[in-house]
Amino acid sequence: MRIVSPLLEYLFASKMMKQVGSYEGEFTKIVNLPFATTVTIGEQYYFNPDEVLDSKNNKIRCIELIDSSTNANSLTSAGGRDNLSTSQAIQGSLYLCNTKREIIATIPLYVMIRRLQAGKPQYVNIPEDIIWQTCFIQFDSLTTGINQAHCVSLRVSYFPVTN
Amino acid sequence: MNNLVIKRSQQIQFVLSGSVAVGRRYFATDIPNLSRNNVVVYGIEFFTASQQATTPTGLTCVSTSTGIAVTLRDNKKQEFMYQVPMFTLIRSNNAGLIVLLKPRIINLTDCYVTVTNTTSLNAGEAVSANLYYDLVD
Repeated sequence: MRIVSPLLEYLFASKMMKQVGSYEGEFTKIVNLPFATTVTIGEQYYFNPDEVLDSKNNKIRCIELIDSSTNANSLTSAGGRDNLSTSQAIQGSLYLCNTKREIIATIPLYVMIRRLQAGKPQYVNIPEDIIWQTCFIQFDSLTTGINQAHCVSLRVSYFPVTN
Repeated sequence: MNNLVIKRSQQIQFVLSGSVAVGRRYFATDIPNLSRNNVVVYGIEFFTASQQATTPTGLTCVSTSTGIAVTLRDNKKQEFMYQVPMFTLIRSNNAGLIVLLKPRIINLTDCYVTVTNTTSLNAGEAVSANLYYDLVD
């Protein structure tokens, strides 16, 4: 049953709302961010350049954090690493930035763990161009330590841009 | 079933400064780029320490939400969301759904939380939230 409402129509048209069961993206990929040293509070950990995820090529539509209960380990460019646990994830956030390195969106890591949100995905539709290498992870507390044995593993879904 | 899509988001906080007392209001900390009445808010999500241990400004997040009510005011001083329990604004308490609002221009520093029960709330902690918004055309 679909409720007909001008407000809901507006939210749909403005891309502020989306059906939970709809397409998350035409393609999806895993992006890993392994840590080279022990993580420190307030430091910005940037992703490696990834042209696939730059807005000129593809638009990101959904981001999921793969935690250690979803998938224990990830194979990264630095070798096999442990994915973050929930207690580690509550300590940090993902920052999406535009080409001027301005922060456009802040998303705590915990809310991107899909299994903890009753399976609801975290949709995004950033109105500005994103350069993936300017996006970063930052931790604001480290009661549960994170070091070179760990990595942040994101599953990113996206649509190609038709030029 | 529908859920919110993030267009732009920024974290805000309500610091429990001074003593924590029932009925007391704690206003949102000013964020310059959100305080020019230039943003239309269409969603909001709150966090306790279970979702976010510490705010980006380094304050400890409150450990409980059951003693806190949230009020949002728009740029006309209207309290369009009045004393909504913080518990209902936490995503994981709502099967992963984020609370959507009718888009409004808010006055951030007029928005506040009210303490209704001081149990497990401590001075200096922060009520943390993520504001989902778009810019005014």
